[in-house]
Amino acid sequence: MDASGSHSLLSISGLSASYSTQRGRASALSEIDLDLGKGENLGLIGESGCGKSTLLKTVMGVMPGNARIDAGSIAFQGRDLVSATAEQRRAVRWAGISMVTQSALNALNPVLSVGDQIAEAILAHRDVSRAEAWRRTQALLAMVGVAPERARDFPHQFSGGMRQRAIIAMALALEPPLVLADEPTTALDVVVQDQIFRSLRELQQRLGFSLLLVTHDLALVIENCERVAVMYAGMIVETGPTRDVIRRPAHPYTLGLKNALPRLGSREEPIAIPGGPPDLVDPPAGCRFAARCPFALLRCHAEPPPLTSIDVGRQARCHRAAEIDTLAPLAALPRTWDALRGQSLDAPSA
Amino acid sequence: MASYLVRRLGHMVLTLFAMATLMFFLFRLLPGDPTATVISPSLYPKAQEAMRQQFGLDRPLFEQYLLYLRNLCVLDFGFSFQTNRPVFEMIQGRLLNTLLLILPSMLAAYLIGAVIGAMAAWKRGGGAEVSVVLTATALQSAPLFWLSMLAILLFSIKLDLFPIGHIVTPGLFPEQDWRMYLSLDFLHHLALPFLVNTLYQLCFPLLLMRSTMLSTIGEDYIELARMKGLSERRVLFRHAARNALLPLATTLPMILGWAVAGSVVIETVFSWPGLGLLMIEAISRADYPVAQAAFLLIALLTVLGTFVADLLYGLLDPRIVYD
Amino acid sequence: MAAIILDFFRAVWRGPFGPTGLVILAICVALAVLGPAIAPYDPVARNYDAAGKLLRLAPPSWQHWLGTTLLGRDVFSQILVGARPALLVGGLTALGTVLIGVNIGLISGYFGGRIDSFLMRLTDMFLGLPFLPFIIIVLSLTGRSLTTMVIAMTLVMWRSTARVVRAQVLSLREMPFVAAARITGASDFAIIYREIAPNIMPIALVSVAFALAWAIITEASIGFLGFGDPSVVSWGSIVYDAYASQMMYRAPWWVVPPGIAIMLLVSAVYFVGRAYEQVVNPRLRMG
Repeated sequence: MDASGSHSLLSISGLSASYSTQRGRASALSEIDLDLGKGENLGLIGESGCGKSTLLKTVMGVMPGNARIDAGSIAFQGRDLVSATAEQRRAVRWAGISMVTQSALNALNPVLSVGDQIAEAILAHRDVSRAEAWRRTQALLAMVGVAPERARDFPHQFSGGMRQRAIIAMALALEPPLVLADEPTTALDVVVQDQIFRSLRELQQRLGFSLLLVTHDLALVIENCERVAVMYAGMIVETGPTRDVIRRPAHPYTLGLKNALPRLGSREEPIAIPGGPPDLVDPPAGCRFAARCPFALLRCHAEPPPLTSIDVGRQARCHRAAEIDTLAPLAALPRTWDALRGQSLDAPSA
Repeated sequence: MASYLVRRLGHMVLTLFAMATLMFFLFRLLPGDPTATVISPSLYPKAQEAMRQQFGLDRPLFEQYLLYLRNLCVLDFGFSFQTNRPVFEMIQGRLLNTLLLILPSMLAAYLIGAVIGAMAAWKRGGGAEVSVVLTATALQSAPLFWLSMLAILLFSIKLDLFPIGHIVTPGLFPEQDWRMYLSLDFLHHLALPFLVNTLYQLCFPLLLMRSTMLSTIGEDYIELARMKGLSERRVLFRHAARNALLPLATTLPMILGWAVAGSVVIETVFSWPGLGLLMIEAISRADYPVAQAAFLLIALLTVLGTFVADLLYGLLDPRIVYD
Repeated sequence: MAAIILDFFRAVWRGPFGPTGLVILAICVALAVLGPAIAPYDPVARNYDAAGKLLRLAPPSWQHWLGTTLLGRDVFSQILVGARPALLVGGLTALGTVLIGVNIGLISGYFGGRIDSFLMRLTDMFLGLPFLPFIIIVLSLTGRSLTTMVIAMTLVMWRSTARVVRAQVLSLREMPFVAAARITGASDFAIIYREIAPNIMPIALVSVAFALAWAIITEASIGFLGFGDPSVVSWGSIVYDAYASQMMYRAPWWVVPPGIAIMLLVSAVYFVGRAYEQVVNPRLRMG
């Protein structure tokens, strides 16, 4: 972590973004605050559709045409990206922030060789010859454990694990200070997944980049990230050191996520949170999680909770964060959540 | 790859054989004198008799058929009713003329069509895209003969920029002199039919390129290419367009077939002495041996186009494995 | 079937192009039915001016909206009358194309194996057949008539429909509902025509549209080349008459209108076909 702590690598504050749909504008991100120091690993966790991927695309500056940033800033190495020109942004892409994408099969262009796709990233940012770029590409592939002579192969000739390694090699091609990883191993089996993360950690020790890991898999965050941010319906609902957050969650949604983890040596079935995410075109007036929360009070439905500090380096967005120690044992019981099942999940109109 | 090539060649030969057979029966099993389509009725009865024997027309149909196939294999198409010259001799130069008109124009059409189609997709949603699509659809819907006539009306008659037809100014060169192809006069005559054909033929690749590009643009690897900080131009041409070219290449067989079919029309309007015009002229003069040979040669070009396009597709898409 | 047709109109009615196409098509269909009845003059009658002189190549006027031909015939009446052969030949060819193409595609895709490779080899052969030259040869050998034209065109056009349908059947064949039908003991015939065929109707309708567009252009081209039915006035034959008279460049009113009529009709067919394809083909729905 940055010794001074004041100057972080990536600092997102008050970021809100929305995209237009046929029914109106949907708020995809609301008041996102995130800080990531140099060499730090931050896990961003949440169910699919909560805005994790949108956040990454916003940071990379590749939002879809129907999306726009409504407020806030994204500071990278102290410079704001939201107000930067297209040319400035392009320079930051990959050289400053690179990305390990989801589903490596679709992320690689099927008609270009894997090596070509890595080399072109080098050529786009560095003033080197084609031969030099190719030499570096082969070194990168060797670094992630792929035989360098396979650089001329096409994506379909690679196994799933090799493709993911190639994507990692591509992400590290310019030794960027920050790497974003979007569900990097979802399509892979557990053994390969484990190998990939082991080599990712080794590379991180060697190269010293920061990692923002986006996933819906809490176990991956526990193994790889010292800090975690929990996202729900376009908002950060809880952040803090991973160990503290897992041991003592401060938000009912985090309690629910923890319940969904299979527990070693326990016969208990994992408990799923009932219901689905709220409609983001017409978000609820109060807390966005209230409709699915077993502990929601009238106040929760009426008034959105602010993100409040609850401990050193810890924040949560919940009206009942202070009572969490009494709520946590209840959250571990299936019938607490069962009570929500079957009843209407719509928030009562405020 | 080699075995694929051989098998594909085998299919081609089979197709040509089937077509030759079809022609044989189409021309001979017609009502009336079966020899009327082979031997010129204008010859003296004695000469007719001699030819009947030469072509085996006094033998049973099956033997005639075998003889016909053997003659085709050695490129013996018989004699023209009109000129009494060997058909093969008449056809050679015509083949070259058609190819000189159609091939460069098709290449240009595909190149320009693909580039405009790709750009239209890249700038999707704008007024420019809508007008490109509308224009292309309208052009594609217009009959080629009519477009050619409008072009002549405008550029040759009103503006007097190009000659009205023919391959060179009549009388400038002796017939079938190869030197005419090197002359500026030839290029001047080629220009207008080339432009009209290119304009008409580029609509299909344009519209197809646009729609495949639109489905390619949503792919993850396009987003990744952008995230890598590549310039928009590079993302467009290297990543998006290259993938959209694949489906375009598979249409080449169809398009080549259409272009050959279209050559009949464009050659007629521009009096371009190619195979298509030869066929039309031969039919209207009841010169059946020439008509048949011209048709078979056009068919050969179409089938050959399909074959080349299949190979091209394999070269473009690394995922295709020949087995 | 009624549901499919209803869906068709619902799909095409979205967006600006589909309805435009439908309106133009409706006008052409009305002309095909009423053309000869509402044409102001007999399309092949010679017209004379007040002094009794033949109206050769008269430019457009109040009497003759689109002028007259070399033989003094009214171009506007010819255009109105020409809609019928265009739609008749086009429609019948499209129908024949779909009947043959769909059945071959269904059988080929469903049974697979030897039947499939035989039928596909046959399709490949037809794919190599040069379109226009083949039709011209057939017409010149068997006599020029609209019927022959329809048969000859159908013979060369079914091939692309067969390919498209086969590709669709190949994936439908693996669907659970086909397996379910098989378990209940349905015959191959019943599976093909009752289970699979309704699912390929949308794609077949798209290929009807494209076959129709092609048939109309081809009919006009054949008319222009002089191989059309000599007793029928069609848009192609109007241009042919102009071309053959050697006077066409002196009388744009004679040459331009038939081409525009063809262009409008074929564009309309494309608009409707593409609007429908957009809805039917999930690959095109993006973007």
